[in-house]
Amino acid sequence: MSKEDTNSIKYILEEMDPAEEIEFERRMSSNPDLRIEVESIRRMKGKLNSLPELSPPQDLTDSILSEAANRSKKKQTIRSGYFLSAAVVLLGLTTGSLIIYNISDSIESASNASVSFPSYGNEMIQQDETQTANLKPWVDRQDVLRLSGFESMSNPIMNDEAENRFEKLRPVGEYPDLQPFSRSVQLTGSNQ
Amino acid sequence: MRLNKSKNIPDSYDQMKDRELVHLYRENEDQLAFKELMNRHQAKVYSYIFSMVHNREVTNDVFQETFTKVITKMDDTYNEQGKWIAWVMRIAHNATIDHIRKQKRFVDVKGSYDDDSKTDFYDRLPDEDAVAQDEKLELDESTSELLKHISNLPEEQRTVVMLRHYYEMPFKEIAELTDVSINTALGRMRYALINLRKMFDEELEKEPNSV
Repeated sequence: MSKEDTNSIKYILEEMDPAEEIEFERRMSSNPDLRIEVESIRRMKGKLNSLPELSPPQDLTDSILSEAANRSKKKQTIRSGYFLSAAVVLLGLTTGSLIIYNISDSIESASNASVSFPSYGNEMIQQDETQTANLKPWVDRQDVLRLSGFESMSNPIMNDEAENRFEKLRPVGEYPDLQPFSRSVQLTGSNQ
Repeated sequence: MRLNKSKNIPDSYDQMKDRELVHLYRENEDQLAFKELMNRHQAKVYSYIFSMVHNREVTNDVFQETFTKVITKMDDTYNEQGKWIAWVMRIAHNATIDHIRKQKRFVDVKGSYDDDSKTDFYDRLPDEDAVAQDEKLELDESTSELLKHISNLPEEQRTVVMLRHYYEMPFKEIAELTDVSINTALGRMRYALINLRKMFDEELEKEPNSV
């Protein structure tokens, strides 16, 4: 189909831009056949205006509206189902993460305790000893105690008593850094 | 033609654009918004379908099918950027064309005896009396004549004329909807109007002879 053929319909249906319209009208004024065609098509188009607008039956529109309402109800149900599922999943995730957090926290505490014990062990033991000093004079850990002042005792009775009192203590010989008037003993914790 | 305005529909809905009503229906399940959309467009959709199939019962079926699709597909396939009614018309047009093609296939291809339905060509011919009864509308003579001539137009010409008439659809949209170029759509419109004029002329020529 040529462009000229469609121009008449474009003109009648106002589908032309203003420049095209002016040009087409110029051609129409010099072409009687074109004018006749345009008028003929225009008249026919005018007849279409008498086409009726029909309404669908009321029961048909009612059934469509109720279908739309049912669809909405279904959607709402599905939507609430989604929300419920999402809430359950969220709750589960929150609870799970809290449990996992607590477990890992306690594991961490335990590992911290086990790790820190060796590094601070001596201090902790010293503190412990200090705290319990009032209850127990000393703890037999087979440590070496340094006792001093015996040599200064001039009274032989006191010396004997001191010897008897510490008879469980056995001298271990010379200690490299002995202070003057001191002796090293090893605590055995045994009467033998 | 609009549905009787329900007392339940607030006046503000009258002022809303289609897009806003569609949004209300989609997001808030607002039934009044959907009803207002129906009010606005149902007559044009219905008339378009009727002008294509010329049968009330079939029109009702195709109309129902169209709006069932509209309701079920609005969430998935309708893009709110586009005109809602253009989208609805596309569905109506496709449903109508599907129906027409099924009818054509039924008559054209299965002309011989059909083992499945145990019928022959004559059994499957439409009952003209029944159709005439269905189509009985209270129309004046000239409108009836116009409808008759329109029904005799080739399907592709009739489609363009009706889409343009009922929706004042731009030819760009008609071309997209019918999957042809704009020039082809314009040409179909032109031929449709020329053919209608010829049909009216022929009718006029017959009149003096019949008297």
